[in-house]
Amino acid sequence: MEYLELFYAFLKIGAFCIGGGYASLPLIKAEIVDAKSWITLSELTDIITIAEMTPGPIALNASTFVGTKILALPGAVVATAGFLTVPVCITAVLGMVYIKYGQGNAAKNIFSVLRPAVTGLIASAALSIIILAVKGEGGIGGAASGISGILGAVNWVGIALMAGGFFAIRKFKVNPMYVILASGVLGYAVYSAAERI
Amino acid sequence: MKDDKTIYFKLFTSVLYLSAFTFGGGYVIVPIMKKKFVEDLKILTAEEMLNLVAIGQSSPGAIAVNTALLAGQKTAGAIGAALCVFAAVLPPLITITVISFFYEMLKGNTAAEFVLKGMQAGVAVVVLSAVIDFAGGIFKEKKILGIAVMAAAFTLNFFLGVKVYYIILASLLCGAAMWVYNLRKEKQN
Repeated sequence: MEYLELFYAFLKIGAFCIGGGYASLPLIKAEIVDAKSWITLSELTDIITIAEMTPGPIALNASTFVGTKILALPGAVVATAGFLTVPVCITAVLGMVYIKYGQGNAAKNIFSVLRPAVTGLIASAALSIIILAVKGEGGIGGAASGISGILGAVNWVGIALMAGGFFAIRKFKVNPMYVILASGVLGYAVYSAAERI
Repeated sequence: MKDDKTIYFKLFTSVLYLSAFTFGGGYVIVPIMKKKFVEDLKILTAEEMLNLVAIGQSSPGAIAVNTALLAGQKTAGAIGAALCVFAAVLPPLITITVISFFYEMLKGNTAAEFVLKGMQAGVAVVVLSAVIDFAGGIFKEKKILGIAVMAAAFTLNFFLGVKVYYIILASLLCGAAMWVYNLRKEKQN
């Protein structure tokens, strides 16, 4: 019975999770924290931290984590399955429509508007991520002023990593995955060295 | 039959690898998927990739799973779709289950924080590079409408905080209106 309840809760979360992973968090809060009290709010905050620290879509990570918390591994599977049911069905139907009518005139017109829109949205996400990577500990408008304030407002390590990564991807066509992994290793080396000084 | 098996295997391992190593939110997987499916395997064009991302974005759930499903469906039918969903789900399921047991240990760990902070810069560059490619394609088409829609979507989402879903919905309606308009124009001629 508990499995069924868990499945149903995540079925609802998946069905109304519209607009990407973070959209699932308020739904999880409403269903799992407020309605069912399966986890506490501070545990939910932990989940968000974990989901950001581990690979994979944040909504899936959250489903797995909550499922594990409540009913161990079977709970994780049930929560994930519940979350996926509605999105997978809807996406598969949309995909069938696309494959059948994707070359038609209607689709051509619609996608000629959708493609630039999605590109603009990815650009918006990119800029948010870049700002996060470039912003220093001091933060713009922080307590320090003058030159040290300006220097502190910018994360120079982040900028150097980005410049190197950009060069590697654009000029040498390095696999993006390796750039991410390498910047993780270099980031660890530089930040932990800076800590020691 | 052998070809079928090869494509199933390629799809499964590619998505498994994408899902296992993609940190960060939904859009981060787009450039990495593009590299894999468009540039390496050449089973989709850049344009098709953007179409699939648009569809994945229009349905509920995680955009990474939805887009993986669509890529599988487009290249290898229902079995391809099922394999891609399974491959997308498996890595997070395993990592999170394991990590939830070690969570307390990982929580205050500065080493993990440093690695993450470094990766942030890598992720930023990867997404930026994909934007340059995608936007370059839009500019190359030399259509004012496309460029205007791209600029509008960016401005609305970034500066005004309009939700992604509304922007997709509005573009969908705008595209449908354009289709009707073009149909009428054709009939008149």
